[in-house]
Amino acid sequence: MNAIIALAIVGPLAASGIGLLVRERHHLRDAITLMGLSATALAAIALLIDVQRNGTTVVRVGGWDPELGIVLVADQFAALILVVATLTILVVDIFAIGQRGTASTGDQTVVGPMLLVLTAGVSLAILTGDLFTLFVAFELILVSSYVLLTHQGRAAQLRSGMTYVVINLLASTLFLLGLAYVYAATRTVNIALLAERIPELDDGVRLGIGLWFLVVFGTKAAMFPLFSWLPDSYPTAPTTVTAVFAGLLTKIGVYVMIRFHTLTGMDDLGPVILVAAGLTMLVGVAGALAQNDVKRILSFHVVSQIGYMLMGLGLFSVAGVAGAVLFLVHQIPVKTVMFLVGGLIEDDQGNSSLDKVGGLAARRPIIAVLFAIPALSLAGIPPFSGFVAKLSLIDAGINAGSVAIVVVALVASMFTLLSMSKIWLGVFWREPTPPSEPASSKASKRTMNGATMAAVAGTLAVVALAGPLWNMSEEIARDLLDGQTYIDEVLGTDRGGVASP
Amino acid sequence: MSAALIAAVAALVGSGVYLITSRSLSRIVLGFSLLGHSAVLALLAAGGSAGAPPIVGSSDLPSSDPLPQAFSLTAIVISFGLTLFVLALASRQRQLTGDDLVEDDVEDRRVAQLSTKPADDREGETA
Amino acid sequence: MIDQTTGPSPIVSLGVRAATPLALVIAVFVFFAGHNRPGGGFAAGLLIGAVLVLRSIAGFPLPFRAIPLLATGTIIACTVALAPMLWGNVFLDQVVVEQTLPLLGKVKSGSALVFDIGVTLIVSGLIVAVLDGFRADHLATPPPDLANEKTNAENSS
Repeated sequence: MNAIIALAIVGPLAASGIGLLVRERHHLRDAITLMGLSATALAAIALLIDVQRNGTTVVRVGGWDPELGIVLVADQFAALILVVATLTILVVDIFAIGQRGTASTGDQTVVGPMLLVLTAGVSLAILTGDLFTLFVAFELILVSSYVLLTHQGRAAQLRSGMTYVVINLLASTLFLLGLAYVYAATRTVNIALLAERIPELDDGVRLGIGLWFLVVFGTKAAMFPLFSWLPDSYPTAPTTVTAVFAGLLTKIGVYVMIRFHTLTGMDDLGPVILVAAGLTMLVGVAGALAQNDVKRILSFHVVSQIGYMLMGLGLFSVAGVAGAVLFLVHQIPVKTVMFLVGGLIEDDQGNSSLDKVGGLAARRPIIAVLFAIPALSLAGIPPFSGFVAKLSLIDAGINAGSVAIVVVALVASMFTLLSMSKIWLGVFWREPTPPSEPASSKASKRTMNGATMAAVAGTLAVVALAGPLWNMSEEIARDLLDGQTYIDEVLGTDRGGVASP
Repeated sequence: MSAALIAAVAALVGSGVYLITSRSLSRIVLGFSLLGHSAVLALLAAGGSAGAPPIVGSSDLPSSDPLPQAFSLTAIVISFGLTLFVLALASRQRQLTGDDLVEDDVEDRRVAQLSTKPADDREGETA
Repeated sequence: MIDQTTGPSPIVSLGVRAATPLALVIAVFVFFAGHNRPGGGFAAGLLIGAVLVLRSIAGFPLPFRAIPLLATGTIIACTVALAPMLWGNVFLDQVVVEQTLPLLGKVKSGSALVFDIGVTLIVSGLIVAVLDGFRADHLATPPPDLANEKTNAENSS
């Protein structure tokens, strides 16, 4: 299994190198990109199966001790999210290959290789067992996302890309400063060792570290009030890029937040996180209602949905964290698919503004169906995946006695439905508008529709597997909140009392 | 930890953040360099008291902590690459707009653009 | 930096030409020193990059394209990282070889050296990419009032 973990990280990186070498030869490059991404997805699936059977795998890179070296940890949480993330990127890449036939795209030669670098970064961020490697993984993700965001070099993209770059660079610097504080306080950056040592620190230092990383990860996750960069930068990027970003990047922030704050026992921060969660839901959905462009509306929904995951984390109960994990699994494909549908609309109409598009339900019924399923899921209508995930969160909230956050979550859900109906009315009803000229080729449309359908099927799979997924989420949540399992797995149970220096 | 190092970190962060809030991209780049240096200094300060170079067999004295130095090196490399990227963006921005200023009222301008232009993707044709 | 009317100054041009081989020798030394002493792939890459920057300022053309350097470097580094696993060792492990060669005496080296070659290539490739970007910018100065978008054709990646 060690080989598979290494492959999931280095494989896409090597493939991106090969892809860059042959980037002028389109078919070869696409084939290499697809192979790299499929191999990573397969590795992730194999990892999940193995972790289910044999428990957590830990790789000590270069054979170093966890005190000094880098460890990669594939536990259930990591393997599960890795599977969802790599499959999502694979689907988006197929969509991107289909989109190449359309008129409206710029230089596509770097998209495939950069998606591969992004995949490597995402794998590393998910699998890493120490904070510094997490920082490196974030940089890997960010560097590739900067390029993806600005590779068309248009003025609007540069302008909004600047906001994205500046905010994220600032967050990275804060991350480094936070690492310095953590290291000064505990003499380690290994998450398992931190899980042992942080709870023993003074309350002030402990909460300081917790809050500091709440800000750092919160900026990546677009938590209120650190979200304003997101709706500004996402809509201008090419569709495929936005789909990956919306589906994955903020979720990686949430993933590490869930991991770090539960393992290090930051229960005291619960109320703070809950307040931020409620405000994130409300402000995000309110922003969405005010917008008039499909991609902009969806971007605000990215923010709003982050609130639900934070709510689960903020409850710091097994049911709450399990709900957050399940929500994460549901949200990655749903958000991606919504942006892909936005791309389909834009491809058909050359535009995604509600004022200029209309009547697609009659003319392109496939797009309407592909939109309706994830939209209802996003709003949390049964029997779609959003319902299962939201129900578990609401249930956890009621059990924990936090009525306020439950009410906010329900209100935000209603507004989400309202905003989805706004898109539906604007895009799919009314008089049909003429399609854009020149239209994409048949083959290109087929590929894009196929990729979107695969992603919709993925969201439906989350419902079909809701039972096993919920059991798994509960187990993950129990392990995270307990912490001792993770510590023993990473450091080994037989270490004869390692003294902290 | 040395108080001088901490004071230097504080001064660097202060001036770095001040520069970042500026509108000109070249100042933002300078601000980031300062912030990067502050992070490296903070990492060094976190490493505790200085000692001999942490190379095995180079000295009999107690060596300094190698981990923060490894962190710093990685951080320097990364901030080097990112600084170059931001510089390239600034240069591209200058090429497109004639200056390197981040423009005002992005939101307003976008909404105004939406009413006059068919789509983002075809801005090249309408411009 | 180049004055378009007169070209680079002969002093700069001659100086850079003289300095190039010296700097490259130092780069090679630093590269090999990195095994046990300060230095290594990154520093050597920076030195090569510095040479390229100097040459570019003096008006010499860049000898390499950026993307092949970056891509080859990445592939080499990844291969070395994964290779130990073929023999059942840990990820990123290294093999150390010791041999006595004529003239050089006892030479100790390892697979980390190959990894460092990858790093050197990536670092110098990065610098070439940046020089490419700035130089393209310098030559293709747009009319000052062309404030709006250009076509997508000329992407600086």
